[in-house]
Amino acid sequence: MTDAALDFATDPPTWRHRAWKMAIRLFRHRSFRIGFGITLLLVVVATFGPLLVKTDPTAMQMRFRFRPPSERFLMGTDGFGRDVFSRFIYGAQLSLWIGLWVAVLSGIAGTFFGVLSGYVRAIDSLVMRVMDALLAFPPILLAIGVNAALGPQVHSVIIALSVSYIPRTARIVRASALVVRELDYVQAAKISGASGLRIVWRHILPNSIGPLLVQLTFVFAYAILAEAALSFLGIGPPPPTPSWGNIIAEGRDYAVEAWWIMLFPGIGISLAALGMNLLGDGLRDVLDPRLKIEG
Amino acid sequence: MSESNILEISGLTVEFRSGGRWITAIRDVDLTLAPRQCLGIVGESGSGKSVTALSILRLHPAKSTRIASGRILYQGRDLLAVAPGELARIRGSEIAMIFQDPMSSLNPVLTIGEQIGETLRIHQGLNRADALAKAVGLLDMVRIPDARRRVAEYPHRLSGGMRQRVMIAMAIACRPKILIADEPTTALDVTVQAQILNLLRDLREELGMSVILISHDMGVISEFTDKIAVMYAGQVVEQAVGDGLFDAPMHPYTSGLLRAIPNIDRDVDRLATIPGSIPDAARMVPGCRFHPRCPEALESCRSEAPAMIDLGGLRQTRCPPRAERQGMIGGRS
Amino acid sequence: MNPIVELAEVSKTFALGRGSRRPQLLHAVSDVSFSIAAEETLGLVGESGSGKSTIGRMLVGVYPATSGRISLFGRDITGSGGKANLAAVRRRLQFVFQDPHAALNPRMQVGDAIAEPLDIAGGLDRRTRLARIGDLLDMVGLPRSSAERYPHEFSGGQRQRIVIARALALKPDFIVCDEAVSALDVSMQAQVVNLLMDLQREFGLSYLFIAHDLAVVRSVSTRVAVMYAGSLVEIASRKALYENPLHPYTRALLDAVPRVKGAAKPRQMLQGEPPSLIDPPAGCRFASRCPLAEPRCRVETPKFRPVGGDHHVACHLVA
Repeated sequence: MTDAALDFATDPPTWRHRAWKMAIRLFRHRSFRIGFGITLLLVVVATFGPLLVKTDPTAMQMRFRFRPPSERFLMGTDGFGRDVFSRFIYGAQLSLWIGLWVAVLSGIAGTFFGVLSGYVRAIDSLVMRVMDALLAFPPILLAIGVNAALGPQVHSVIIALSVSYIPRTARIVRASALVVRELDYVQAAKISGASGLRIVWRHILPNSIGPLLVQLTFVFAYAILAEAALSFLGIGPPPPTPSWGNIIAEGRDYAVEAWWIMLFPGIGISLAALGMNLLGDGLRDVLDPRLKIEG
Repeated sequence: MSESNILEISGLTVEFRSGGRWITAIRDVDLTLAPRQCLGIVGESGSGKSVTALSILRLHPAKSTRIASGRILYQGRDLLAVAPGELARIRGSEIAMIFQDPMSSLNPVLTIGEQIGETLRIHQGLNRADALAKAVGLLDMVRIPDARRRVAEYPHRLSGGMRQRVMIAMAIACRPKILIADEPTTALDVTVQAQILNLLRDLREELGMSVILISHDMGVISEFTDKIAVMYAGQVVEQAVGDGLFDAPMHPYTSGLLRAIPNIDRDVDRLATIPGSIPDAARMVPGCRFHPRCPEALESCRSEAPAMIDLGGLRQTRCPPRAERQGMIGGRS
Repeated sequence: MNPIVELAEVSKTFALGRGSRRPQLLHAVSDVSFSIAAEETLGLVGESGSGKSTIGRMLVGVYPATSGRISLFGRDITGSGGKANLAAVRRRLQFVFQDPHAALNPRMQVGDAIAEPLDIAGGLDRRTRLARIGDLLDMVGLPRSSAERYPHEFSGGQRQRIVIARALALKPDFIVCDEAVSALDVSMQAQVVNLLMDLQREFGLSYLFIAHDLAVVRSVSTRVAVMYAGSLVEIASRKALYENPLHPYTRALLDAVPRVKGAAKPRQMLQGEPPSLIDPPAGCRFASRCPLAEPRCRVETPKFRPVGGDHHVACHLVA
């Protein structure tokens, strides 16, 4: 650390230096390390699992219906005699994919609308009324509409869920923006002639990032669960395609007799949410210089 | 000696929890208050003056604060040892406190009459109507014009000065023996400050209260108090009765502070400064706490933590070199 | 000498409760005229709500004036073409805030915060920028290594030095100091006041020094202006104002300041509080509290007029 600091005194710090220092600080943060580990594990499972698991997740073997976990079926089988382990592995990809995209898309759009209405006061009430209308609009109905327009595929689910999570994200960003825009350091930048874009980029966004990250980890977990509900209604990827959501949806009727069908994807979703949450916490702390850990 | 004092704080050490460790906020504070006396505690931020005041009524957050040692004798009873129920009775009815920011001490959804009345109903068991009638009387006492109408107002309708008057009315509602005022006029304009200080002075006479006034403003302390304790970095560094402190300060910190205050009655082209800044409580310097900023520091000041030295005539200093130079050592306490 | 800042009959009203059925007008500043010469410090004192901060903010373009004319360096920043004129002089203006905690973005390294005006103006390569940050830190007496640290690692007094360094980045000619030392402890306050005065001598700066603390203002100012309830009541050289105050409000204000060892002095105390600015009274705004008020004071607004030398006062009773 000391050496690096001396270096900077003679040589201006570059982007690469800063990124490197940030990475070091991230990995010193315990929650970030754990969250990163969990997320990495799930991503590896989702990416390489299907290459290693040879059992077809859609193959039905009626004589093996409702088998509890055993050596042959690690997570048991469902009502159609399909291997839950195989469905779990293949479903991971779809679920994580949906969760990630919904978090990213609603995060970007929500931040955009939040900053817009929090910083540009003239259009605040207009944007927020649109957001309220969106919030009041039933997400299921929205999903059915998108599904009808684009057909039953993953994109429809991602778009429908992203749109329905925008208002909440936007509200959080707007609340931060409203506070920050009145602070003296924003006034100082304005007095020096800073553009609105610069103020948003350098001052408002960095100071809204904490609550935003926490919100997005929730969105990620909700999206995975919501996909199950939609799948149950026949929206999104059609039933034989496995996702954690629709494995749970299909297993719901047998929750007591065949608990294993719901249990394992349930654990998967919880793990993914936990991983994201820890990752988000770590990121939030490290991005906030006031919480810098000593040493 | 203890007979003549209504309040005696001795050897008070208070610690705060910060990042898993206990950090000393104030150490070995000794203070006494006689009936009808006004004690001023003056110091900069971080000096521990407010911590000392809050300790008297144990108003700190209990989880993150502990009183490591010391005694606070109020009329011969140790306030640190009394039961919580008894402490709650003493708070407000025998020892009252007012703070810097009256707005955050008032409930915005209750009228001021209801809030003053609440104190009376709790401590004196009055019914609603009597409490309200007495509240009007109290508002008159703190010279709020048109008290009968104002009693039904909500706090946000009042100016800062009026709110502080309401806080004072609540504080004196039960005729307390001691009033602790923690920076009561810091948030107020200077003309309003003068009104409030005058009011406090008159009420002190009328009710025969003792007052502890905490302030960073030497002018306020000088005009209002009979006895002054100067605090620095969690310790009392000098004590005096009357103007002696200003005529001949016996601690280099007091001297520095008095020199650094801009003078309103004289043109000064350059202010004297105290170099450096207040030490961090988590990394307290060894020896005398003021030595890194002290122009008179000796080698011994760096290593030996000085004790309070009694100079006679109710003067005390925590600066042995100055005491010696003056040849005034009366014996270490 | 040509003034660098000139206000002529400047007023500012704010609309309160916009959107409600009956919006109210708050008359924050009414008909204020004064000027500031190069390398001069004008102290502007008054109690809260007197309009002194609003004036400071109008001078750097945070609020436009409602009426009247403001000229900076000979350019009119009010009226048509005001925006372009403000943009043309923007580099020469800066502002120092009261609260050094709110004035710095907690997520920006000190070096970046100081360089922000440079970055906005643009056109510096990395190495020059870094050298400039180092120079600015030297000027305000902070170690160069501060550049890579964050604001929360500094005390209030040090942060105010950082804010001052940022204000100096573009080598301004005029700085508005809005209660710049009010939040600091006495020992830090003296250090920052001395720093501001050293910088003034070195770079030929002019200050508008807004403060409620009359003693601090006496120690920094060349001339002093006193405001009450949105109007200017008196302006004079430092010596004249403190030793021969003419307006009854100025006298009362000076008298109300508690002094070390001053307890014995009897003082004439002002009763009541300043009038509402939503519906300000006719005549002199101080009349309701003035110990000398006559009937005409409540009817006729006193003119702000010269009473010898550069001493101006707005009071009917001053000969």
